[in-house]
Amino acid sequence: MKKKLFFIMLLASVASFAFAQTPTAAELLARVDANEIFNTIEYDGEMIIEHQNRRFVKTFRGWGRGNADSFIEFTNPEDRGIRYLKTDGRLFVYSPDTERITLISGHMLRESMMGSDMSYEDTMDNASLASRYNPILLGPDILNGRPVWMLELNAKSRTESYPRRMLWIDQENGDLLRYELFALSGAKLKEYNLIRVEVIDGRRFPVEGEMRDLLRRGSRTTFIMRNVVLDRPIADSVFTQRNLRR
Amino acid sequence: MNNEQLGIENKYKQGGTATLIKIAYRNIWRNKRRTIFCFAAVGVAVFFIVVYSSMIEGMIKSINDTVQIYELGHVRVVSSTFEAEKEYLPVQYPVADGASWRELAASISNIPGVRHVFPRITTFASLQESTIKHAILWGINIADEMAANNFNLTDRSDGLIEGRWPAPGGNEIAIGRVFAHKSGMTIGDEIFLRTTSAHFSDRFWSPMITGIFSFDYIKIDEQYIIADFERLQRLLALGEGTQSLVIFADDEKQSASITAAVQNLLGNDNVVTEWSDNYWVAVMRMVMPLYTIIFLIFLIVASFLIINTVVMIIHERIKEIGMMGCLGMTRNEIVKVFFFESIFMAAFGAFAGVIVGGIVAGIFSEYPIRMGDLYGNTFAEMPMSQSIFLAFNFFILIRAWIMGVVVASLFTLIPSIKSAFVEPVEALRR
Amino acid sequence: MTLFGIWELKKLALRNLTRHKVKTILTLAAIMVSVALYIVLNSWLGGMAIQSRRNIVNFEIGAAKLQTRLYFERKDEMPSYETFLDWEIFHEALYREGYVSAPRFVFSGTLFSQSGSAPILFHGINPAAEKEVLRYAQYVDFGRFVQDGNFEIALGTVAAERLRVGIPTRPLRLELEELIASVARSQAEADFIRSLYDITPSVRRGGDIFSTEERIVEGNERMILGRNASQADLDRYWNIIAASGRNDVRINAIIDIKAAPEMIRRHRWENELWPALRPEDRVLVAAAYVYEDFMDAYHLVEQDERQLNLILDAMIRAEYAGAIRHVNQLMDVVVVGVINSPAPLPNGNTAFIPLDVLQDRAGMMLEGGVTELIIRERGVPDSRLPGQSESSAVITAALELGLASMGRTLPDELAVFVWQDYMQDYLGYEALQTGAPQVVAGLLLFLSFLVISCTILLAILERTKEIGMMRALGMTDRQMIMLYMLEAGFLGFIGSVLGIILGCIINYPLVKYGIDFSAMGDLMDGGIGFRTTAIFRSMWNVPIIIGAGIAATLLSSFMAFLPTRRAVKKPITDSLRFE
Repeated sequence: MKKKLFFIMLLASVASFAFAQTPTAAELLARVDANEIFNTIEYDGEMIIEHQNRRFVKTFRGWGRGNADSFIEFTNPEDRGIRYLKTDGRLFVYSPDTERITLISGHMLRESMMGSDMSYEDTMDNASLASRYNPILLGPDILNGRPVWMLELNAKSRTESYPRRMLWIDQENGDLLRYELFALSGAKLKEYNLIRVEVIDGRRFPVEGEMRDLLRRGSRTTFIMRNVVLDRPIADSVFTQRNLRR
Repeated sequence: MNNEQLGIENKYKQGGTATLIKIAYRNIWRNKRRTIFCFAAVGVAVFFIVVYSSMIEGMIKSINDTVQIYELGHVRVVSSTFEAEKEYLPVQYPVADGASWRELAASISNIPGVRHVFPRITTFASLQESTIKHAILWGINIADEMAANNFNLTDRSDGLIEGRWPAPGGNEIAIGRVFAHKSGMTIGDEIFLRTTSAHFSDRFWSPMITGIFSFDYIKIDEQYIIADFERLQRLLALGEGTQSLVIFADDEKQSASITAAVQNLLGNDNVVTEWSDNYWVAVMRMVMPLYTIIFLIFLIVASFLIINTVVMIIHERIKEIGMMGCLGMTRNEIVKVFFFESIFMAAFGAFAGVIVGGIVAGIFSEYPIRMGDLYGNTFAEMPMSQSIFLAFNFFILIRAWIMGVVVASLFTLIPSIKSAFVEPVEALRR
Repeated sequence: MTLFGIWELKKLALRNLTRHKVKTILTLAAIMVSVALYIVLNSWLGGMAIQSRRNIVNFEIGAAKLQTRLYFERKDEMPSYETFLDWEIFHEALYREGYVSAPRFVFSGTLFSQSGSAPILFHGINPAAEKEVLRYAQYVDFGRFVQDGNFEIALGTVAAERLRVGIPTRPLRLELEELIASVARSQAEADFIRSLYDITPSVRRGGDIFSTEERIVEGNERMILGRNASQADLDRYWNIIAASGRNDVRINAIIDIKAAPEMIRRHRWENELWPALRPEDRVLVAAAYVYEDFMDAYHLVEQDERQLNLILDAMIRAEYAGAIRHVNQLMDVVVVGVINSPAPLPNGNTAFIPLDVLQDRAGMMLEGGVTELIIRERGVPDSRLPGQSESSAVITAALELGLASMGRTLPDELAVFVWQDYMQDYLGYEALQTGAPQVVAGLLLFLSFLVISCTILLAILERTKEIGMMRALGMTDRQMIMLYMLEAGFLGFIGSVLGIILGCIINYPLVKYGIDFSAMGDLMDGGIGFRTTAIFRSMWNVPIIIGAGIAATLLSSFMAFLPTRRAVKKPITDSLRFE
């Protein structure tokens, strides 16, 4: 999840194998961290933002490689030509209006990305969860009728953006069904729910999920992926600033 | 034997008041220096009233113009959701739910009295690479708006002081004089800014500065970046819609009827505001009575001098009064002589004040007073031009003159009446 | 001529004044009105200015602040990471030397209520210390002020109305009914709440002059919280509202934490950090990090706390984003009081929260850090503005002395800044605003001097014969001039005394009750212009009052000089023959 560099990557599925017996917390977290079941991905994305009684639909084309690199280009008429590049732990945006590349940094990182329920910062962290959080297995639970493992993560450093997270992992297939992000005080800030998983090339892949920023009243953002192609080699040139400017 | 029996009365009455006025007029010149003093006192007061009223009218006009030209037009339309969050200047809530502004403008133009309908966008921008961090992006149809109104109220021009206005559709902007000064940017420089589109997307834009303007209105000169409306409309993904429509009427008095008609046309989801609803416009209207009180105090103090003089005159001419009385003038007539004399003094004095005040107001109605220089940026909060033209009109002059004469007359009535109580025979003996 | 000689003329001058009583009275009236108007205008403007300054000192800042120099440099951005520790020691040191002080942690955030959200400036405070320095805590309109140890806030009245928290003072009728529907637990409570409100009697709202008209439609009637509602009733009302959960709010803030990054990737080091560092800081930073090949990154090796802090400061100065981490925080708090003070700042988008609950992870992770210590001299009356004893140098010296007596020193990064340092904008505004209307009063004074000089001139003309006679009898020219100057002076003096009396009579209610501008305040949202709210009060400026009197007297008497000199230049024979 956070490890997934780019927000669309959040939807990438957890390894699709069933846990035979009770795993340890560290094992579960390691699996979440190591869940890239693809080397590369190409897809058509859709982001449906419902906010202040209005609904905005944004479509884009996305490319991803491992955890490190991703590139998306918006295709809906209002935002056509806007491109984001995530590489090497930094986020760049290209705007067709300026024909210019901007590094997103500082205060901007806290702000909502493209009006969605995620901030730029949410898409930025790249170190593994295991290196930043201490996991505790809270035990088995039932979520929407499915048996799950509940995992609580507490930040190792006091400077972590979200000092606490909760994860719900499907016991049978390892899907990350739900996670919640908490503030330092323990109050819940955001929650994610997996909506739909598709089997692509014999692998389970989350293609639809929903994010809610609980501070934005009645707001939610739904991500949908279509035409997903996995493991087709993508040229290095895609994840470059030159491609942004193209 | 009385006058009636002598047959004098009728004849005397015929020439009555006119004769008295003649006497009164001649009397005022008997002591020139004293008279001039009276003129001066009333004159100074009336002069003050003329200049001050002109200044206040000028300020009111400046506020009205500022509100009309930069903010509301005569009538402005925004959506009600925009109105609810107006302090954030959101572009997400276009007029009539994003309907084409051209179509809206076309139907509004059919309302009688509507002269122009312009679309406008006002929104925040954060500047990425500048010492100034925030600015307001102002999208207007530059050529049309400049043709319809003088944006620089002081020079009565479009206010462009350097370069040219941004070309329609281009990546170009014009910035204010103060903004240019503070940011150190000039023509040819690129400004890199970020704003939020109608779909909540971040928009980055780096237009080139093609012009520097000075509207002599500090708020805009300092904070606004002017861009072409259609360029901004595209940048902010507004489609055919607009954030607001400003309507200019043939005559500002028609604003109320146009407001009602537009409201009727667009329904309750849109807020139609008349320029006179602006807070500062309303405040200025309410402040006027306060000034009238100050004017009255001035006139009353000036009247003291006339009263003084009349008292003196009566005292001085006590023998004359006795004589006149003995010669058959009634008390009423004697009072009238003194009363007319004081009215003459007030009227001439007030006239002098009106002339001098009128000249001053006339001069400064052509050459503005730079309030900005006098008061720094004190008026940044008020929608008011940095330079104030005094308002010069005959209504102000006549009103000041009448105020002067009426107040002075009322006050001098009292000492004049005193002359009636002089006993003629007693007076003659003094 | 001796002074005594001049004084000898006084009887003559006074007697002359009684010769034309009406004339004298009118002249006096003119001077009286002008002097009175001058005094009232001056007192009024002076009152606003001094009240504003007092409000700044008593409600916003205190006399001075102890802050880090870096905070002061960036005070407009409110860098809440620029904190300092051990405020208790500075507090104690200042107390020993006769100053009271209060710690504060100022941060910005968003406050969410059931009905909406608003950006708020939060002040973490120590209630006991805060009350010693500032006075707003006494002006809790409803509810009470915050207490240590609780997650609770006191909110400015503007923010409270906007967020629909607490007791609404001027709701529309429909709004009130909505409120009643959501909070009243019984019909009795509903009736009780309704009974506290009056319907606005007229269409207008607000004060007399600055009222604005409101269009009234069904349900849009403005309800006013009755002025005569008893404290017990208000408390009961407040408790009903509090019980409904309407006062439960959430604070969303970002905790900015300064931390030298453990690891910096090579390209960030090369592209972002290094070029932005000041050359003199580069050595420091380079010494603290070691490049490690296998990670392609620089690793922090410095252990020393002080060195680490210096490195941090260098990075912050270079605006290196990696040096400040943002941690999301969300706090559930209860609004326990609404502040409506005479100063606009505490009433605005401002909230106060006990400092002690912000210390750990449930709060803002302060761990003892505060952004400022506000300072005031101990025991000074509120009406006194900070003087020499509250200047930066004197407070700094006192602080150093107090620290020395405790065996401590003042760290270099801290400095004392006086209130004027924070209020440049306001002071400029004040200087301009108090100047302009005096022109009006000045013109009026000019007019009344015209009246005096006219009076004297006429007196001289009238008494030309007399003057000739007196001179023939041996009075010197100087004596004549003195006589008339004395006469005019008496006019001026008596007029001024009357003017002062009238001025004071007018000024008295303005000082005591002031004028209520609250309707205007609604629209202006405080903060601009004068730092007063609602009630504008005049003041007693004794030097101006007495000075105006003396100036009017002297000027009046001077007015007699020229005409008299002309009169005495005339040959005596001409004067005697004058008709």
